[in-house]
Amino acid sequence: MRMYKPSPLAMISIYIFTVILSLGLCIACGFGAMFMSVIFWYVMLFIIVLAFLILTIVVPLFFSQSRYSVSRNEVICRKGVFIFKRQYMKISSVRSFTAVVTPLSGATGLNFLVIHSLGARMVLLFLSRKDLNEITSRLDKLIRKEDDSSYETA
Amino acid sequence: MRQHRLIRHIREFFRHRQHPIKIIGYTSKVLWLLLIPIVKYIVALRFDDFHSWFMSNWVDILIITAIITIAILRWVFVFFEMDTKTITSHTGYFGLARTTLAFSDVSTVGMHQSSLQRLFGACTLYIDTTAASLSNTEITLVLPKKRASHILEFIADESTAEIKYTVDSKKRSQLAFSLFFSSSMSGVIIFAGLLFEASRIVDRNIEIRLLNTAAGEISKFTSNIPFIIVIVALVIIGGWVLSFLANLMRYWHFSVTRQGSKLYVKSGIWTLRHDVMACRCINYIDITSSLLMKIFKICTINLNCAGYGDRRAEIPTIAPISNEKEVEGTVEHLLPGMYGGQTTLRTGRKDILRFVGIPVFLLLLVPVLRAVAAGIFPRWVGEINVISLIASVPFVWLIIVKTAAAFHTGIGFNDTHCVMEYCRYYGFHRVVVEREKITSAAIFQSIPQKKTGYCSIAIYTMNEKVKVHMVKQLPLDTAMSILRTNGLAV
Repeated sequence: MRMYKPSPLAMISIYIFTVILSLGLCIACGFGAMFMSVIFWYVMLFIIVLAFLILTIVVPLFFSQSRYSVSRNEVICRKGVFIFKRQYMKISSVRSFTAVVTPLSGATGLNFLVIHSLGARMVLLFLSRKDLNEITSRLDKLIRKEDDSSYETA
Repeated sequence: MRQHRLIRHIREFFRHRQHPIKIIGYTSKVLWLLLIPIVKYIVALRFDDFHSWFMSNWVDILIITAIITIAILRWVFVFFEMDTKTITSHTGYFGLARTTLAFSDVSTVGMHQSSLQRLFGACTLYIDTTAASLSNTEITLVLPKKRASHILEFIADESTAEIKYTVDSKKRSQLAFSLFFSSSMSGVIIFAGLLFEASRIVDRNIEIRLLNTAAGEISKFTSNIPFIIVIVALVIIGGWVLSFLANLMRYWHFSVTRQGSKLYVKSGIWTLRHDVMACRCINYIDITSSLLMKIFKICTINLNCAGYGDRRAEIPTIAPISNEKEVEGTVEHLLPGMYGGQTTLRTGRKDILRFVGIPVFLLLLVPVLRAVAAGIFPRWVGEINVISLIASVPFVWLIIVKTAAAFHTGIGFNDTHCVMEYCRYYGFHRVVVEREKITSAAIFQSIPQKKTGYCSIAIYTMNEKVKVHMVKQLPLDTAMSILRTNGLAV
């Protein structure tokens, strides 16, 4: 069984993205408050509180709790922030998988893997490109029923 | 000789085409908008002055001709071929999309005939497989009744000489089923759909005028009650009556037969339905009831099979109303071996508080929202009070339902099956699924559940779409161990 964790690069990317987005929105709200209505100060306050919560609670909690494991017979995914989820999927029931590789994902860690089976779906978020390639090649072999003994020895 | 050959060719052409009534289906809805004024003009001219009629309406006539020509061309290009093992349908524009499926993979074949189609001797044939990539029906063809019956018999292999087990539904049961499964929401959806379709064909002003007249008539009789309340009440009652009538027409004359490895379901008055399912493609059975049904000890037996009950407002039932004592017998007759197992891990009296927590919170939210709304709209306090009173009724009912759910929730496994009992919204479900048809399992824990050591088990079963059965408020350790011992190592 191999264990995988979300990429720390993805965590940094989310931090940078959240900071940039909230800064942009705050500037827009600032203009809105000065030229249109005072209500925009409240909107700005809301954005700041939301960004603070995301940066200090949601993201660290998600990245510290998420774990994915792939073995010969099963894929297990543990993730969640406020509702914690442990999902198990039989390899024999996997029908297909979709790997989503974003531009510059080698540097950002924004890679995703969606595993489809009849009636179920499992989403592995924020994998590093190396992990994603490793999991997809393993899944590919398992779906093709090719021998992959490295699973048990790893 | 040549004449005979020509007739043979023509016959062969029609043998592989849909019923000509489908041409109307292929015409645009706009056709009627154009057709009505043109006919109106020529009637006004008493069919005398064709020349001036043609000169003043030539653009409309041209468009209508184009629409009809395209519809005929579509009809010509859509055809099907069959051999002993497969059926292929050529659909889409110019028959470019070709769908081939093997009879051995077919999960459901349905032959539905509406009253309009009955006038022309046509019916719609639906052929479905368990292919997950296509959630809609794989092949849909409008065919002459005789040919559709022939195809249905061929795919369903009705010539088999095996013993038939038939369960006929009593009229009383069908009435009860329609009563219990009618909802205002679905009625309103049907009504809205009718209005929408009508507005596409006739002038929208007529629709608005009709609604305004109705509103005016209503206000004469209900001058003491706020108008908005009357409208809400009428929508709810009218929607429910409409839904009740639709259900009654859909499930009247309901009968289900098992012969060999196939299930044959027949029902309907307005639209005659005949569906044939392959038993091996049935993913699970779901014995469903509401709280009222539980009190009267009755339930309905539904099943999940790709293609059965998928279409709008259909319920995939095999026994519309069954006595709780008869359920086991009915299932054993129709699907031998599917009614097995007992729940081993159950919730009980001690878990009631956990079940009613959210509904109580929602109920408490109503007076808070009422106070906020009354503060914002002080003129509407009377209406707000009535609406908040009406809004709190579903939550009170939900609290009662969830209290009952604490005694009807559990999970259990035996050698071949998994049994789940759970409550989803206002409905109670007992789901029996073959273990090999479980594709995934998950454990969910919210923050309060994490603190108290409880969890919810989610079992995903084979389906065309993602299908999850959630059994809530179970102790974590026992839930984990029960899943692990049954090969679902969460």
